[in-house]
Amino acid sequence: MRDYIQFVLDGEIVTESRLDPTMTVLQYLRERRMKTGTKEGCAEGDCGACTVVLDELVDGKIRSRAVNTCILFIGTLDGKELRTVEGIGTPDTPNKIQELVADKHASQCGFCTPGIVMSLVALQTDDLPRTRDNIDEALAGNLCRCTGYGPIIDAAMAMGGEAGIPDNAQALKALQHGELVKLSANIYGTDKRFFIPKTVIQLAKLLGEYPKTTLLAGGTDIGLWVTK
Amino acid sequence: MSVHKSVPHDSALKQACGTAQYLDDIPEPKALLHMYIAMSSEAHAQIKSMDLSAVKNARGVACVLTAKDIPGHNDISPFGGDDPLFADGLVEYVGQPIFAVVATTRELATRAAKLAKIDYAPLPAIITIGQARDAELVIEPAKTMAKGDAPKAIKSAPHRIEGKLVIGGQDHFYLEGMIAMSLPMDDGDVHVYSSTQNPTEIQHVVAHVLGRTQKDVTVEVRRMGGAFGGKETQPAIMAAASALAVVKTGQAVKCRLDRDDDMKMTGKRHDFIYCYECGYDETGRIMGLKVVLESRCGRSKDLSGPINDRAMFHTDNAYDLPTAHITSHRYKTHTVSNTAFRGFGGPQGMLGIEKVIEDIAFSLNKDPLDVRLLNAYGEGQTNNTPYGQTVEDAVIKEILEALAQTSDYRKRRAEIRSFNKTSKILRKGIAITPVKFGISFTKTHLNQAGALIHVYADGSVHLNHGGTEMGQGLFIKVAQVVAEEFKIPLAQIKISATRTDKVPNTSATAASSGTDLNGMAALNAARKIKLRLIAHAAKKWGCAETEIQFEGGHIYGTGQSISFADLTLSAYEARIQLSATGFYKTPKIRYNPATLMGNPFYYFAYGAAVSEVIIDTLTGENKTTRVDILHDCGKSLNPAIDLGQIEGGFIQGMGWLTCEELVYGTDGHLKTHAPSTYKIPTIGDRPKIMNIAIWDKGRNREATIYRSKAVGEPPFMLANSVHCALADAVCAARDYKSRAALNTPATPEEILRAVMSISNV
Repeated sequence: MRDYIQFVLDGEIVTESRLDPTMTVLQYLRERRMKTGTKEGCAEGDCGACTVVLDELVDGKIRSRAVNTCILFIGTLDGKELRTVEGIGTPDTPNKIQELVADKHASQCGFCTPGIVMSLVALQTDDLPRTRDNIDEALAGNLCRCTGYGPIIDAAMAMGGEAGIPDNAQALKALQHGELVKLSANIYGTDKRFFIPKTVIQLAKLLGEYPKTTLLAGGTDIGLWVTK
Repeated sequence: MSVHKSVPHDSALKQACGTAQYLDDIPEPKALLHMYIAMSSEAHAQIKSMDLSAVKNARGVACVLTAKDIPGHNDISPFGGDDPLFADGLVEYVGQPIFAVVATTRELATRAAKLAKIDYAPLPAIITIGQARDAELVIEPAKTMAKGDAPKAIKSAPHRIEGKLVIGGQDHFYLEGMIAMSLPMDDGDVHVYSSTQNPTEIQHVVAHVLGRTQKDVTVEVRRMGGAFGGKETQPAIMAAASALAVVKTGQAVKCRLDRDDDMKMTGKRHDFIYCYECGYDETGRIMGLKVVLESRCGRSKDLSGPINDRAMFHTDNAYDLPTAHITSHRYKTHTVSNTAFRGFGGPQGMLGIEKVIEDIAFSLNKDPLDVRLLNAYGEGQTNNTPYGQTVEDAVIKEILEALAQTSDYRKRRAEIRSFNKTSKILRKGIAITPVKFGISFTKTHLNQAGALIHVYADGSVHLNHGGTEMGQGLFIKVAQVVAEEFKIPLAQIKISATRTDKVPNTSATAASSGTDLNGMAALNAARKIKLRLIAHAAKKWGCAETEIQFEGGHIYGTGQSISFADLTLSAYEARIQLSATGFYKTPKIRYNPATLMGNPFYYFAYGAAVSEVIIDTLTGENKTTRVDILHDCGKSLNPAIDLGQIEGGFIQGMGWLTCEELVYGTDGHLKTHAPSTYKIPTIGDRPKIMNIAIWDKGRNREATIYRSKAVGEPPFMLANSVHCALADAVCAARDYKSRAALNTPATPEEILRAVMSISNV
């Protein structure tokens, strides 16, 4: 058992322990790391303003997904890589998607924009053809109240076909060391503990020890117990 | 040229990179406290007792605030005097603020609030328009507007028709929820960051609550994450409560609402019941129209007076009514006080007459477009609105005809009719509707603006004005105006946060007037500085002032030239003032609020849209498949920004009319208070085909800023075509034999109900 979690945040390996286990990734980003580019719109995983890209190694391959950080608990990042809107580019050196979103007038009030950008980053990683249906699917979880979506679709169409392998996959690979892959982890706050078993045996042992524990997989329900 | 150009929004790249600061992104001050506002669980009740001792003793709590803690006035209303910050004995809607908890974290404040013991003595609650009508409960007396003798004209008309339309409300659903952060300053003053469209009013309200004067309060807002009218009066709650907490604790205090709380606590678009009686001739020409508007205003006046006035001013939409009689009832209910929302009553008034037109066309078996053209303002008509203003630029027929052509409306209508003959379950509908929208605040004194421009010695420019940025592109448009005046690149201009200590006594950025007012004020300020620079250059070069030209970042005269920066340095050294304030007030408007007669509007903005829809007659499912829009922006200052307003406004209007449903329980509890239950349009709802064009002949006949027209609200009402198309498809569901009333929002349930109502005939 290790009493820390490790993950990659915008290319840097981060080690954390003694975090409130029900701290959301959104809180962590905004309040602990001062990465305020990721926004809270609804705190229930419906509006998509808090979207980031989560990369993980599945059978040696990188799988990238757009996820809602507002109901994602910090412990679930263990062993994975998080990419935020600030991590992929800056106004001086923007990512191509960020540039397109600005040039195609796809950002008005801008509050949904970071989430839209990150959903597009995930779409690019997926390397699906840029059809309207694929774009609709990729952005189905992102609400925009200003644009009417047309300019966002234009930006997505203009993204180009090349797959966007994360520049910093090296860090994600370096993260997969023995202790992280094999040992279950736990973090604890004042009154809660969060276990991250890595094998079924570890899970069975923990359940034997704590039979009343709450099991968390995706967490879209359990996240709401905390945020609402 | 910097104007008439598609320049991207000044913050677009920052927004896309996550570096644009919204209020909650500002680095937090030392020892910041967080506030939670506790809300009433009852629609109408006396608070018998309130025990907050457990709240006060909870972990992390710094203080608890109630009505008794207010040193000034317990009122945050814009002018009605009837909006307490905290309920004082009486609660009148579910969600009404009762007290606030201030604690070291937001979570602790939220948790502590749940420990309150409140004993309510329930009173009869009036929730719906019908209940308020029966109880004769109003926020202000009904108003009437009349042109000629409409009842007589209707009586003597060859044809008569009457009908009713229930029109739903709408939540703003700005992505950035309500938020304020207040900081303690010298002398007990307060600096308030507020996500508000109306900094001056926040300043006034905070001073009023604290028992101070406006000079003691500064309000600042750089940008909002959307507003749509929802941040015109409503942010006063968060701003005043956080400022009060600053006074009590001496520490900085932030109040950020959770989405669900935001939707329960703050006001929305008014829902209406529209009843009409119309007399017309064989051709479909309206002879008289009688309209009764009833609206749910909620618990207080807020802006309901002017909103209902605007609904009355727009019952004609683009149609010339020889006689009209319009009555407006403003009902008080025990629900949240409804407020400004893009269109400000206009959409409800306009949707009604579109139904009238479609009903007339159906009764005469005519294409509704022909009835529209027959009744539209223009040549041969009275061109006199029911409120006495003459429509001088009657261009709507031209726009309708041009759009009908480019969209292939008539051919497609015929194709749809033949499709519907053979399609069993799926039916299509199509409609073309016009928009005529009056531009100006109907409260005449609000039509003024101020600006402040500093030109620094190095030639860089600081721009400030009273308008606020909510995503609509106001800041870039005003910067374009200033860049054009000085003939310098946009990058040389710093766009800055709206602050009450820079430009005072400003109006809300509302009524689509932001660019008209602030663009002119900024031009006024820039021109003052430019004239001083011209005088200086002429003196320096010994030539006539008329010979001085600004072009491409340089100033030219008598064969000499100097860069803008060198000239400003030289002017500084010559001790010339390089800072100026600017001011503007809209000319020509005059109007009597008591009689509702006069010229409330400086000009009208126009547009038209064709929508095509398809419905499933077994489930009510529906889709808008194609939209064509032709919109009049005058001579557009920034076509890209204007197109964004047109498309965004249309989709928001489509949401209002189709998927966005506010459901109140009989106990007054709002059941749809989060995106899980309240559905705004998603990317999949955007029609697959959208052809949007700015009318290339557009030019404002009035001397507005570069002859542009306001564009914030008018396109919202283009979506009325979606509702008319859906009603057409419902009619097609039973082979055009009979027409059913299709209320809004036309959700699948409502469409199915309408289809079934015909089949049961």
